Amino acid sequence: MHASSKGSDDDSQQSLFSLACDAAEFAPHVHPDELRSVRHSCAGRGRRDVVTCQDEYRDEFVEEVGTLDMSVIDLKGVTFPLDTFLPVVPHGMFDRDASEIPYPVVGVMLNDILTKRVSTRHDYYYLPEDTDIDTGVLNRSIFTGKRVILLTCGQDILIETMWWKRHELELFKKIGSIGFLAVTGMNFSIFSGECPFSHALNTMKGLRYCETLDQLGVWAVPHIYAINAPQRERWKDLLNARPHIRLVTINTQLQRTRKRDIRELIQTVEHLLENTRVSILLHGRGIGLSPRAKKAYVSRLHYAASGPLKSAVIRKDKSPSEYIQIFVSRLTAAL
Amino acid sequence: MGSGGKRKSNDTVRINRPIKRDSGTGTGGGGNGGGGGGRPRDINVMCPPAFEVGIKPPKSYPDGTLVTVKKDELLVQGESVGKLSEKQLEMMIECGGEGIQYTGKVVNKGNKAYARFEQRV
Repeated sequence: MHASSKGSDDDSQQSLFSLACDAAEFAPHVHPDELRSVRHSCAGRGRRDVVTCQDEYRDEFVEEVGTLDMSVIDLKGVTFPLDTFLPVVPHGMFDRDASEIPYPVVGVMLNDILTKRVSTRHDYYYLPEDTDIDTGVLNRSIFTGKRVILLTCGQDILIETMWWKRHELELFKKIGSIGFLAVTGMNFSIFSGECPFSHALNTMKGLRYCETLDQLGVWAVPHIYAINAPQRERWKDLLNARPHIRLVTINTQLQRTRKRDIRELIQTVEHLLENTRVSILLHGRGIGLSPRAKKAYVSRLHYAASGPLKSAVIRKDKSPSEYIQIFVSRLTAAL
Repeated sequence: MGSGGKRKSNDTVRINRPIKRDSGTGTGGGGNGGGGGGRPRDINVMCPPAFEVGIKPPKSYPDGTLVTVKKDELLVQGESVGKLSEKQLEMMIECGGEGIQYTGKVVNKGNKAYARFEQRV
């Protein structure tokens, strides 16, 4: 299934699947050029991982988000000064002393604020059916005196299930009641080779998540995935039309080794930096960005990572503070 | 989960149909399978990506040998090696109704053998 997904979404070579894709119906929210990169059948997919343009219930999914037009979204775009680095606190540190992390603002992952977290069953990720949001999470000692940003990122099974059950779980009300400084958008997946209708739909789901939180008075930070030029343009247009949105985030945790993925990520980051005024919180790794870009946009680039604190918990050979120091010195080495 | 060119093979999900909230009856629309009203069922709970059934083959078969299902009986190369439980059989029938089918293969773990069923892509 994945053997045919090696091409970039900006490649011009077309597959037969692209000719059978109906996503052009959704223009201008899907650009015709995006169809050229389709490398999987849009028919008979059974909504495995994505909803395609040929899904029999696709209109229900569009109805759920109202429209695929990103420009209808508005967010208040509260701002708060962020350090260059945002340490993400792993679950294993929740009962440690807050003074171990010398930062006033920290991050926490969605999975870590659940009463039952994602685990694996027969080699696949699995979310326990009776999980819920732990609304008392910020009472744990590590968060004492800190402002906390919820990073609503995670596995597809987590994100998609929480979205699907959002009303039953009263997801927005609960997240809104916890007292987070900010909440980032859900990182609904966008993979090259897949139907561009699914890309547009997932982008809107992420934005609607932010919008609903925003309406509850929560600072919602849009999460961006853009893997081709039309998608980058749409984000640029939205952010320029809503200049009060000053911070966005991009989850980079999957962009580790595949050069093409890293290249696409860099293109997106640099496109946003050069063509908008937003600051970007890169969640994962800051690899690949040129020293020039890092230096030119130093005040607009922030990095969130759980690696340093996880290392401190697992290895125990250095303090959390020392691991953070090492991480930050690598980040800033090129500046 | 992410973006890029390749999904993680252990992170797969069937996207549930949206739950409609406008009926005012509290029964929910949309959802998946099962028919009738009531709480919509999560297709990922109803039809997990994989499950395993302990088998007792008369001889050992290498990993990956195909397991077929005839009614509730599990067969390897024509020989009966075990049975699906009533619950597992019901699940396979329900998931089949949702267009989700499974392929079974032998998996050996230590001195035990299993029929491992995974959803066909």
